[in-house]
Amino acid sequence: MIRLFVLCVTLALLLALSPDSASAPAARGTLTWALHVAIDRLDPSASFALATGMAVGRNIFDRLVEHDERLNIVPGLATQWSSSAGGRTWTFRLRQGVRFHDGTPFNADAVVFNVQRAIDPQLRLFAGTFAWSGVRSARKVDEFTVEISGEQPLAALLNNIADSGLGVIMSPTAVQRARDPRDFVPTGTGPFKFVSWVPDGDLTLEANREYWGPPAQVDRLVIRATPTTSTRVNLLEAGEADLITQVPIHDIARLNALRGVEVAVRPATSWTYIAMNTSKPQFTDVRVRRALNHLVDKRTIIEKVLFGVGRVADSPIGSAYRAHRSVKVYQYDPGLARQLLEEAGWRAGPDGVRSRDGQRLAATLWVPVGRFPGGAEMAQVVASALRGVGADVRVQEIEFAAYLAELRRGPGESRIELVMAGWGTSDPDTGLRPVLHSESWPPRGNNLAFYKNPQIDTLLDRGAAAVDPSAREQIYGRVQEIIMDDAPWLFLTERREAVGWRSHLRGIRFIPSSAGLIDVRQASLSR
Amino acid sequence: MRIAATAERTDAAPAPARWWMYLRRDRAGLVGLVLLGGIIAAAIASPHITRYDPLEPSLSEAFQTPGGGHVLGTDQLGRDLFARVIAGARASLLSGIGALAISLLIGVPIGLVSGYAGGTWDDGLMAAVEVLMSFPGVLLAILAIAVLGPGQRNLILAVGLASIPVFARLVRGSTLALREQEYVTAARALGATPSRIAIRHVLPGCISPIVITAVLRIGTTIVTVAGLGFLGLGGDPALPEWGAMLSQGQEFLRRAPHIALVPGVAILLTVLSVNLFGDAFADALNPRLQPNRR
Repeated sequence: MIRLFVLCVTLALLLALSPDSASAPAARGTLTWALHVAIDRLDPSASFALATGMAVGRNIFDRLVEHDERLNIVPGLATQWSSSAGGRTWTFRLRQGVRFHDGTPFNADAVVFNVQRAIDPQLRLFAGTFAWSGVRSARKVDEFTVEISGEQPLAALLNNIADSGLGVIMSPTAVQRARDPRDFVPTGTGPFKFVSWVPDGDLTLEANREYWGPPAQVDRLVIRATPTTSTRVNLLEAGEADLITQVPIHDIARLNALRGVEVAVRPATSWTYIAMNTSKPQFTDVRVRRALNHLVDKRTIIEKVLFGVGRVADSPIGSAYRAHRSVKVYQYDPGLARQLLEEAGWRAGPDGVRSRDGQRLAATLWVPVGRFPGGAEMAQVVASALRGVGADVRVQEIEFAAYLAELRRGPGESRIELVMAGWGTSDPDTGLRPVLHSESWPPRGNNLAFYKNPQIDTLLDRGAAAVDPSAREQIYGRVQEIIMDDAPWLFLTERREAVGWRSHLRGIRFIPSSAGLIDVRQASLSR
Repeated sequence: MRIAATAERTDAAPAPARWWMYLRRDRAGLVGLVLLGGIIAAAIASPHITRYDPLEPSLSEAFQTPGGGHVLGTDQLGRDLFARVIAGARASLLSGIGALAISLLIGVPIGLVSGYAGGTWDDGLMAAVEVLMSFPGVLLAILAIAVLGPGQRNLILAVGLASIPVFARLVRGSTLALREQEYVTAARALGATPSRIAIRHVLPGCISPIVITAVLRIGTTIVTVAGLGFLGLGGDPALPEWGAMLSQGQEFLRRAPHIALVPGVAILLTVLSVNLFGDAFADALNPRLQPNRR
């Protein structure tokens, strides 16, 4: 089946390229992209993998709405949208005359099919839990109008659809035809059509000449899974890859000095922090948590450990968020930290380690192996600074699977004391609720600090129901202020993504959402 | 050969003197011994040799090249590499010897019981050892760490557990040959209990192959521990474990090659010296190669 499909598209491509055919558009050449993560499956609605969202979700498919580079919502397959009933119902006007790659017309039926499939509890698709979170029904109003509604207001709906690869609209015919997930041919409306995929190898796509929007500027797009950092760098230097993601931070300066290679460091919405388990006696007192925050010299860490690739955290969420508010930075001040610890009653014992009521100020700081650029180094610097004022903190690197397993332990059985973690989406609701709401304690969510603050819970609940942008801004601004003040985390840095490409590659865009990151839909090659 | 070793126990000269006589003529062995002695001395004296702290980062001094204030330069967090590499000597030697001790303590009794008792004991124990042997040692150690959790102590335990089969099989083989010896039969005829025979009469006969194998395994064990440290299974990344240092340094290979080179050379020299010495030692213990017989 796939082979036949590949044969067809190859023939179509040959015809399109033959001199007899109508003058071809400017599309030329093959763009090779060495991606640092591997695609896990071809159905983006069922995958949380970054690569699947970024490579498959972005290029083969469209969403109803999209993010631009500043995370504004812009039209995608929907040209207009509006909400009613306090945000419980959203009406989308659909683009007309669009066809899926297999010829199936795009219309209200296709959208209803995709939403209903995503929220089908039996299928357990990530698309239902994230992109269409809270959605209860989808209804066809007319051929090109769809109504999507939930029981609660869907304030984050537009961001959630646009954010990752999960909100894709797939050809109903292609989905129904694939009895077995292995037979599934990803068929969307996007600027590129699927050609072939080798797991842990190449995903090959070709330009969709009937694309409804601005056409692709290259004939082929090859996305190669290249998890080994040095291999990616070598591919770029040798010119075998036109684009690579996650350039090692310590190599940026050297690569930038090479002829024909460019490296850019772009904002991402994600951030890195260390959660302090507030249910452990060491970290119940806010003065201790603030004191430890004053011990993290974020500027020096960014300069020396991250080679300048990062930004000092001034809010729990990243500055790329529309809702971001620059609240404050915990200044590096060991003297103040000592004073706060003394005030809180933690006194140094004979071995130099502070204790209070027989409880030692000691903790293990977990870092997953290789997940955060410079993670182990940052952890060592932080632990050393904390030891300097009498907090006995030891770093332990743990293998990623073991790390995930530890993070799923619920209250009471969790062994977390200090743990390095990261988060980032593009809507403040999905950015804050899963990591700070008391209903998001593990195993249900990622509130790794086991933080519980009724005021925050109320504000987050109100934010999720507030459709009005200014009301949201106000609510989430307040949340950021309280969290910075209450310090359930050691605030570290906002992530930056380092991307490298050959100088002849033009027109790539950076979208700081979960899976947007690098948008090559309009990229072109000039030789 | 092993039987011969037992038979030669009545030789006139005391054993250490004979070993030294042989070792003295083995140049490579001597080089190994001197190197190893130096490394052991550095390991013992490590806290007193340098004024730098091997653990605490000092970011303002990061990436210094060898020479100047820091003899071997500094690493990515500004820690003195000389201080770290000699602190690592202690960790590496201790973990190598510790792991070896664990595999000896468990492997030798298994081999002895299996070889001497025979029958069901032999079948059961050897089946278990065979299962262990069907996995590559490193894989087994990784599995053990997945169960025990990361950390230096578990690392040593894991590597020790993974090399149990080597000693169990070695001792079983020797025991099988020794238990048919006439002096063993004589002991049995005099009414000695099986455990007494096994421990007092059979085990001493296995000592020389055990010692030779153990010395030769130290190098392998150090490399395995370093390999697991390289994979990030050592737990605390601040600990100056050579494998972990190598792994952290490889990231900066183009920018500051000395960070990976220093622990790499340390591993190379240690393993080389242990192996050179081990070979010479094995020859010295081998009665067929006694110098005075040539």
